[in-house]
Amino acid sequence: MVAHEEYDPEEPVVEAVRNGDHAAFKELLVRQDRWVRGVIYGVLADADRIEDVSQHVWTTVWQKIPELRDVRRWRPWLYRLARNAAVDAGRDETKRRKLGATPVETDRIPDDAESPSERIQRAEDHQAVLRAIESLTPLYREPFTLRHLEGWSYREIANVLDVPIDTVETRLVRARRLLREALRGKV
Amino acid sequence: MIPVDDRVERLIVRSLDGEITEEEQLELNRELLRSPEAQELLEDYKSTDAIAAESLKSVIPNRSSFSPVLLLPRATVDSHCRRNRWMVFASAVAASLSFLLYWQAPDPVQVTQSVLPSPSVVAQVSPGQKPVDGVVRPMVGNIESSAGVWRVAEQQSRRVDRLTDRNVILVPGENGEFYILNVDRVREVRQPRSESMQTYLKNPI
Repeated sequence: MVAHEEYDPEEPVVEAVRNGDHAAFKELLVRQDRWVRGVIYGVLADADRIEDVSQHVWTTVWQKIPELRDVRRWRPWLYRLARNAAVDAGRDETKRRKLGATPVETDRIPDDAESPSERIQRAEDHQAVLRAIESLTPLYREPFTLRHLEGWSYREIANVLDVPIDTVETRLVRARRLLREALRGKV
Repeated sequence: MIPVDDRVERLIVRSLDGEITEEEQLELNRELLRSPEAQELLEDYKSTDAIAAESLKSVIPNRSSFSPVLLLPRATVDSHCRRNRWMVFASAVAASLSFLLYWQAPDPVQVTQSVLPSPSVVAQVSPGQKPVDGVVRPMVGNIESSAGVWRVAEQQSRRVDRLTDRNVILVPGENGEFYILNVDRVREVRQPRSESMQTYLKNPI
């Protein structure tokens, strides 16, 4: 089963961006930014570097969108840009570590109106799940992130990853299986 | 505990992802009534999914504002890149900078320095000159300059590692356009190519 393409209401916006329309670009950015950042996270597994890489991706989109030949394929094109930028950023990070720089560790605890003990428990659960997600290979982490961050259907994920829908389903099943094993007794 | 059948696991995942058909849902319901393991798996996946979605949204939140730096005037940059001869100049500067940084980069590993002849020793030998033992050793370039010394080291050592650090510099132009310069800093780690070179260095002319 292969994902087939339907009419995409975003196509006119992409076309306008190609023609240099700033407002359309901002519109596209506002609507598509989160999944782009999801892809970056899916590759890098490092939430602290998402912002930098996504800025780079959107600058590249603005510069390179005239090279997009088939507007209907804008989503896979954007996916590839995001993915390549994340892969490059990962390489840079490896290089920095080789040169002796120390990566900065930050704690992310959600701020909500829970009791301190509940908040700590929740933060621990979040951290455990994020660590488990980050321990997955990008093969499983990417579709899992797109599914859980944006609620994309199998078809949408297949369209972007350029793989059959069955493959997406298999990867999502395996991702959950691996997460369950990693989180056994922790959450 | 009896492992859950692959087919049932797939149905559970489809159900959670909203991709299940009515027929499949009925099949899954029957299986859930029959198998406590399947029920447990469904509950596990359901809770993990909920926390995962929440966690991902907390680290990748929706943005409400965007930096104006993203809205660079593409048309201006592109047209200038195509027809503005200053781009050629900028590229030449970038290339020169890369070249300069390459030569000026400090040697990161002591072993490289150990194979380099000291300037005083090198200064006694000129290109093509035969050393006292009659063996012609390869020398290129102006050996009295630091570049010449590096070339000697390059010829008589092998590269074991090469690290390139790329910096991108945005240079504002006169008419509001931007030029992007890539500057590569390259560091190389080298080791002696052969014993003979070390012998030569231990016994300078």
